[in-house]
Amino acid sequence: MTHSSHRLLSVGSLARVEGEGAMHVRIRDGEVESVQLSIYEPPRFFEALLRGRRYHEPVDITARICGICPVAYQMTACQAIEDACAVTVDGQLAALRRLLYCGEWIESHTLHIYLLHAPDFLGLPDALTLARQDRALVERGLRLKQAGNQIMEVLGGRTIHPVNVRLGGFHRLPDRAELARLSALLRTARRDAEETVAWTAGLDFPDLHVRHAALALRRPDAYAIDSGTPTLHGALTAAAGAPLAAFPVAEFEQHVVENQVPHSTALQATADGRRYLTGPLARWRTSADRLPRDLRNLAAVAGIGQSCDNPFRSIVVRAIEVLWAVREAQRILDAYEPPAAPAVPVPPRAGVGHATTEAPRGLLYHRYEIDADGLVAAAQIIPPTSQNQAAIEADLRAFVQERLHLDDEELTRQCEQAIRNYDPCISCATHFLDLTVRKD
Amino acid sequence: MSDVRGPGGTAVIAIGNEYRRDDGAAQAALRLLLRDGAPADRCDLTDGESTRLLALWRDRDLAVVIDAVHAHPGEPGRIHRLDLAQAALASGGATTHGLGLGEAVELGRVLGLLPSRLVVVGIEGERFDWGEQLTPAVAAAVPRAAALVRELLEDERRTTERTSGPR
Repeated sequence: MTHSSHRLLSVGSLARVEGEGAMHVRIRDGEVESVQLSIYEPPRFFEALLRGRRYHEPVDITARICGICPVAYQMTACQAIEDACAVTVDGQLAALRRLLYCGEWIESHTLHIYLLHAPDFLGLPDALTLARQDRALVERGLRLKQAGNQIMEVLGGRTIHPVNVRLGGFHRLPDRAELARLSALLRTARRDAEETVAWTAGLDFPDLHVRHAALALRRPDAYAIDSGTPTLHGALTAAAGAPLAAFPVAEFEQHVVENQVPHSTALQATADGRRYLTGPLARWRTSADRLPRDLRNLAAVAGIGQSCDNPFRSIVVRAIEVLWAVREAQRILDAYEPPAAPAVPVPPRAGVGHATTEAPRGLLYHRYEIDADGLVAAAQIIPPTSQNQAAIEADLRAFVQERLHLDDEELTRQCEQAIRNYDPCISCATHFLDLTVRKD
Repeated sequence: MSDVRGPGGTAVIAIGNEYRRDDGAAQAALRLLLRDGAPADRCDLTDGESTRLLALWRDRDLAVVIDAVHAHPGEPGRIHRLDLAQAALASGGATTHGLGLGEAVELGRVLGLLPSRLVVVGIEGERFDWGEQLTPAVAAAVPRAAALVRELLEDERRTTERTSGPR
């Protein structure tokens, strides 16, 4: 333990998060003075890159923003540009898109649960140590994740940066044999997902309760993933009552405002002036009642009631969402009838279009302005991690304040675990571990 | 790990991000290989995430991974060849996707998911900031890296033909 009056924790590059980020905590005279989560995020680069491109190109270009959630970017870009072109994709094509999105949720959540977050709860340094200690556990995670990979490969053409998605639908429809193979994989995946829920429920969770507002999509008929109404609640707890606001996607930027902060290339957002969370806990707050009753019962047994305000328990919510995504994928496959064509026409026209979807990490918003020549005149992308950044910093401040008795190494380790609660997708392809702990 | 088992044969796996300047070197090399008809059973571009690598190379006779690397001191454009099925790759080591590839190799070893032979062809990069252009030294190295990959694949094909006849 360090009793010096000044203390600075600095993690130059966060491990086991997607991409690049750093954390700096400054403590003075026993009080947390500041917490800064520095994120180097690419959407600003991509917004500039998109200007002047043909209107169909953002679907493929924005998929490169993130290797872990390219489908979220593609689905949101498709719907926003189709909105600008006054085209709605529905029926079996929309169902196939939803199936593809389920694949990404299964893959991304399972990666996070088993390989990024589980070692924290088990007191292990990394997934490799976990594999040595409990091979069957990691094999179950890899098997479950592979089901998501295979959905993405069949629907998207490949497992990263899918190439089979286009405005209006797909370049090629899956054949019966491919879908039958997915159905077989999903039968095993369902059992693995059920076991995953039970396993995460048995983990030990540090005590932390947060009071952020929650922003997520809500649909009247289903758990929202690929569409819905942005809905803002004042808190994560159900006792807070009815939503503060529910607004059309086209009004998103009137409610959600991004601000530049000096320590990060990612903008920080507020919703109607409030710091808020998006992602699994916000979705749970907003749409848990849209899940099948037996899933809600399973969640209750796992310690997740109608609401959950402990970010450490988000691993359980992710596990439930994986099980839901597996079942939703099965439902779509069971009801599938091949559409008449792999895509509907989307002729360009001048206009502005908006879309929001639920990426695994939270709400993702795209806006595109298309000019009369079918070129992108402007693009706006608000990813989930920048929306969560202010709330993560606030949580870290409270978290550290309660744990000042820990030495620097243990405090830093626990802070990293706390950050991983939010599965930050700090998209990029490089990260270098450079951990330093300095004391003034 | 999967119900879908790889069929043996050869795989080329390019890791990188074409929008991070020299991090796109592997993709550029893969593009050359595909243009000229890569003698591999499967070619993939990926982001270096460890479980995807395991899925791509498991059960292969030979997997060649192309990746951009750092070295200290560095010499942009220099090409490294690492045989990894037997040797460990230090975590946070040479590759710009260090933990991903290093962890994938070690996870594969623990879980029995390594290919029979795994070779990494690393291209030393100079700049990894946002942008689409390779630096000149790296751009010049791309054809040499592609030629090395082709040589590895041809060697494997000849070895296979010697032991079991033409595929």
